[in-house]
Amino acid sequence: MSTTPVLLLSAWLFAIGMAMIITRRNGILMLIGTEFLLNAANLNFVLFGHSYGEPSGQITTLFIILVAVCEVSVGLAILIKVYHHYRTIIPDQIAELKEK
Amino acid sequence: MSSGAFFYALCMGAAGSSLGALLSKNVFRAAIFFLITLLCVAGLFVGLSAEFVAAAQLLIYAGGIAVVILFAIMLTTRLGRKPLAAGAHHVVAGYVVALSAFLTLSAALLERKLSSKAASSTMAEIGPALLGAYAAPLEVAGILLLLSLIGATAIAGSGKPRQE
Repeated sequence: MSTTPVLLLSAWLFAIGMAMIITRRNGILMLIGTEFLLNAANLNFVLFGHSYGEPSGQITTLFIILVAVCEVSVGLAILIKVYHHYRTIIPDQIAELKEK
Repeated sequence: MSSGAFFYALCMGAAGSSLGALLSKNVFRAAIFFLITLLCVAGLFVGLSAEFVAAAQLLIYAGGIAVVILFAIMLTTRLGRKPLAAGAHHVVAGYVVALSAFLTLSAALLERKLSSKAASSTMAEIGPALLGAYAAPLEVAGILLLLSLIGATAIAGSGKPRQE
């Protein structure tokens, strides 16, 4: 089993996540983009841990998954709150943080 | 089907569905593509003999995060009115940045050969390591998870109940 496709896939997922964060206007899609970035890192950690025979790669991946859960839960809670306040979740349309 | 062909199919599936998530006009459809990517990556983890991480990926990402994202999409969509804005902006700049990131990363990653048949660590190694050398980070991560879940509930749940 060659490692090249996995390395290319992780670079690809990173690029996709980056493009999603830059180009998509919806807050939820930007959050999904960050998840793609984290998944690309996870894939590399597991692959490198596999090829060096180290358990630390998988352990780091578990921690990354845990932090991703925290990030998504807080991010989506903030998005729902912003939606209730402004009736939109497009960051460009939200110009002020303070109630007028 | 041999395991090698299955492995390549998973890679292609993950690449294709992530591209679908990037290009899809519909937010809901993009979330479903994201879910498919997560499932393919979990399959790759099994192929890299990281079964525990694959199970965690399935349970936490596919079972937790994807469902929470779908809930958030439904909560922020006004049914019966105009669909959720899912347009794109800065398209050329974004794709140029992403393409250069892909080329740079793949050039750097492919620079040296990794051995592909090294002995992989099993659950029997990961468990003692998590409770031994990595016990302090594990506790900190647990506290972080608790705090963020309480904080998310407090942020999303606060406010006056809706008057009907």
